Formats: sequence, C-alpha cells, structure tokens
Amino acid sequence: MTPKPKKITKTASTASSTANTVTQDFKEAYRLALKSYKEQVSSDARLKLIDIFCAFLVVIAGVQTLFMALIRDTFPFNAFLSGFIICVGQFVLLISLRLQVQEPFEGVPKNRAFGEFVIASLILHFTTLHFIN
Amino acid sequence: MVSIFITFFLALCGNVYAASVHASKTLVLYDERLDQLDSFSNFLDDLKSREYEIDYYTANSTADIELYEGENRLYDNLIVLPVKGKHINKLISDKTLLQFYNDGGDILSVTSPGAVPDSIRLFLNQLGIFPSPKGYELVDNVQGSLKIGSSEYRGSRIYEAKDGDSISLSSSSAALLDNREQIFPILAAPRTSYTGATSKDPWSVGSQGFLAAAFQNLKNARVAWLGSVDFLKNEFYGSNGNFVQEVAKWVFQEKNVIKSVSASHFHADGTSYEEVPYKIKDTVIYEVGFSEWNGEKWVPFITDDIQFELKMLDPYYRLTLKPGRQEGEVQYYTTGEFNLPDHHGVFTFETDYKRDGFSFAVQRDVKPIRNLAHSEYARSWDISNAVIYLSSIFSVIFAWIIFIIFFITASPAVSKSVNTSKKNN
Repeated sequence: MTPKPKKITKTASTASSTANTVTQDFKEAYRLALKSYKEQVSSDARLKLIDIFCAFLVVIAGVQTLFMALIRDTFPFNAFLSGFIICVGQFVLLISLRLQVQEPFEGVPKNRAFGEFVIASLILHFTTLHFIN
Repeated sequence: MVSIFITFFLALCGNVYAASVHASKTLVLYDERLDQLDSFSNFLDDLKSREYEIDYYTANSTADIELYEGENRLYDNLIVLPVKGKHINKLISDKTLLQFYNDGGDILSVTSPGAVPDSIRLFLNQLGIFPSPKGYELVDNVQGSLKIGSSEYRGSRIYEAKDGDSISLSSSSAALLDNREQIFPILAAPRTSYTGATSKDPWSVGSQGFLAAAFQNLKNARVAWLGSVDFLKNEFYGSNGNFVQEVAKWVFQEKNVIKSVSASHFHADGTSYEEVPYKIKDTVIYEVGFSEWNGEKWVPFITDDIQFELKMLDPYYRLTLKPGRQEGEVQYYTTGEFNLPDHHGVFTFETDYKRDGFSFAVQRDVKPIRNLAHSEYARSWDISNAVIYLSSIFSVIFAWIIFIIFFITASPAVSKSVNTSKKNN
C-alpha cells in the first residue's frame, strides 16, 4: 500500500516540472518575439507608424461596440456598421501594406504597393461615408 | 339622414310639432270590452296638450288597422293598450309591429296580466322582453298592496326618481329581461314580490322581474313596455302620472334625443386628409359635434364621457374627448393633438356614443394611414445615438490622412516614387 502515494507524488512532481518548462518556453518565446519585433520596428519607422494606426483602429472599433452594448440598442444600425467596417477594412489594408513594406511581393514594387493602399483606402472611405444612412 | 333633416325642418318651421323631434301622429289601439277610453283621459289629455294628433282604434271593430299606406308609414307613434282575444293577431301581426318599429315608429306597449295578445308577446320577445304568461300576476304578500317605492327605479335618464316617489297599481304582470345593451330597465318589481299563478312555479322572484322596460334599436326607434294598464288610468294618475308622462316623452322622442354631427379629422396644422394623406406618426386632431333635442329645438349637448376610438380591428387609441368650441346648436368635442400610431393600414376614426336612455350616436370614417416612403426616415445625422459612430468614422479618416503624411515624410524615397508609380499605372 505504501509505494502507491510515492508514485503519485512522483508523477505530480514531473507534471509540475513539465508545466514549469512549458511556461518557461512560453516566456522565452514571448521574449524572443518581442525582441525580434522591436528589432524589426526600430529598423523601419514606417512599420511603427502602421502598428500605431492599427492599435488606434482596434480601440475605435472597441469603443463603438461597447457603446452599442451599453445602450442595448443597435439603432441606427447602418451608422454602426459603417463605423465598424471602416475600422476593420482599414486594418486589413494596413496589414497588407505592412507585409509589402516589410518584404515586397514578387513583381510588385513598394511604391506601387503604397499607391494601391491609398486608392483602396479612398474607395473604402467613399463606400463607408455613403453607407452611413 | 334625410328623415332627420325633414323632421328637423318641420320642427323648425311649424310649431305644430313642438314637443317631439319627429311628427306626433299617434294611433291608440285599445279594447272597449276591457277599458273605456275615458279611464285614460288624463294621460291622453296630457299628450294632446303637447300637440299629439291621436287616432283611436278599438279592437272589437271589424275595420282593418291601417298603419301603412303603400310604403308610407301613416303613424309616428303607436300606443297598444291591453287587448283581449285572438282577433287582434290577425289585425296586427308581430311582423307588422316589427316592420313599423324598424321603419322608425315608436311603440308604447301596455299589457295587463289578463290580456297579452300573441302578436304583442312575440314582438316583445324578439326584443328580449318576456312578460309573464296569461294568468300570472305580481303578488306582494309582505306589503299587501302593490306600492313601488323610489328604490326600485332603474334607468335614471328616462325617469329620475325623487325621494318619496311611488307607483301604485292594483294588478300588474312582470317581465324578465334579456341581457342586451339596447334594453333599459325602468322600474323593477319590489324585492318582496313575486310573479305567480295558482299551483304553478313563479315566473319571476323579487327584483328579478321588471314592471317597465325600454328598448331602443340601432336606428334609435324606441319601445317602452309597461306591465300594467293601471299606470295610465285616471284613478292612479295622481301617483303614476308624472312617471308615465316621462316614459311617454322618452318613447315618443321628446327627450334624451341626441345626435352627433360633422365629425372631422385633420392634420394638427389644419390641412385636411384630402390635401395631405396621413402617414404613420403624423400629428392629427379629431373633433365631433353633439346636439340635444330639448323639446323645442336642438341645443348643444354637454357631457364629459364621449370617447373617440382609432381602430384597426383593435382600438389603437381610446381617447376621452374634451369639450371645445360651441357653434349655434352644436357643442364640439375634440381630442386635441395626438400622434397616429406607428403602424400603417386602414383605420377607422370612430365615436360610438351609446348610453342608457340616450339616442345612439355613431360616427365612423375609414381612412388609410400610409407607411413612410424610403426618403422619409430620419437620417443618421438626425439621430443622437449615431454621433459616436459618425465621429469615429471621421476620426479614422482624419487619422488616415495624418498617417499618409507621416508615412511619406518618414521615407522621402517613397514619396517621390508615389508620383512615378501613379504615372506608371
């Protein structure tokens, strides 16, 4: 009867040790990711700019959703949709711009990528403004 | 409608028909074998003093009763006193009575325990008044005699009882009444009485039975039924006269006659429906005029319980109307401004004024209320909730412009090539 609890403690200790190693791994991975991100961003100021804008868009979208949840009313739903969609659409466009700034796609020069971003954004803004009502 | 105008015209022009709202040509149907006309002289003289034109017909004569000449009704009022025998059923059937009544004739029917002809009974039964069968009589063993005190009066609009008023009768029958809105009880049997015949179950017990009742159809023609001929007789006229005259005034349209006129509705700014049809949530005003016949002319009718309904199957609004302006003989009642419901469809603008003892006054107008056209909904910048969404959209666009500027200035090489790339495209 006595060896059994010993076994249990053994397995428990191994479990805790594996958990420790997993968290250690995560911490390591997080640290590395942060480090490489900081390196990446510091190399190009435009990436920083894009990330700040992305964060701003997330905040704006969050504020609108929170507002809608607080007043418990979707009316006017069109205005909410266009407000939310401009955030999402702009976010998507920014991410695709970021990918190309970081590493240009084959056959698409960086300048052209930026031009396309501008035109797509203008179309997005035009559409959103007309969707308000 | 036309007949109302004609009677109104007659009432205005000639003072001949001073009392009733319509002409007062009256036929009295009686039976010589039961009662001589002289025994009703007080009652009939009172009628004559109010310009009633009275013809008599005794039931034992062989001539036909002529209520109609072709399609035209010859009499406005019919007084049916107790008549004995089956002969009367052939002379005047229940169908004839009903036709006369449906054509707007007013009927005062008096029965007595011994004499209720089948035609009269069938007619009354159709209205929902069920007089006790032949042989049944109202008995009050507690009081001994039939003396009906003021507590038994019903329907104060037909006869408003004063303290100490009482009715004396030597014999009477009582009727059971149907539960209909058009029936107005006038006088209930005393609580200590019952209607019975020897070795039979009682017909009514206590104030279950009624000694007098009134009926008014939807065309406002009136019937009153009295359970005893003693109501009209000279020997009891001292105590009963006042009551009977009030009942006669009511049944022959001398009092409690009201009419509603010129119901109208329009936008709050005064434009009519014809100019601008209603749409949902419009602000409108409804008004309707009421007049009352005071025995000589139409006068404004003052009350506080007239209600307006805006209905589409169910009432969407039920508003108590407020008295408004008075114009000549008409008192106008108005809803004030109210908003049409947020529901489109075909609505009925209706005042349905039906009160015990008064003429029924109904005004209906059916009008559609349309839904909003696509261009009539509120725009988002009129809606306060939309401010947060609008400001976030514009802040995103503003931030995007700032972003573009910073993005270009952050790398001068790119800004140059924007132009070239545009050219290339």
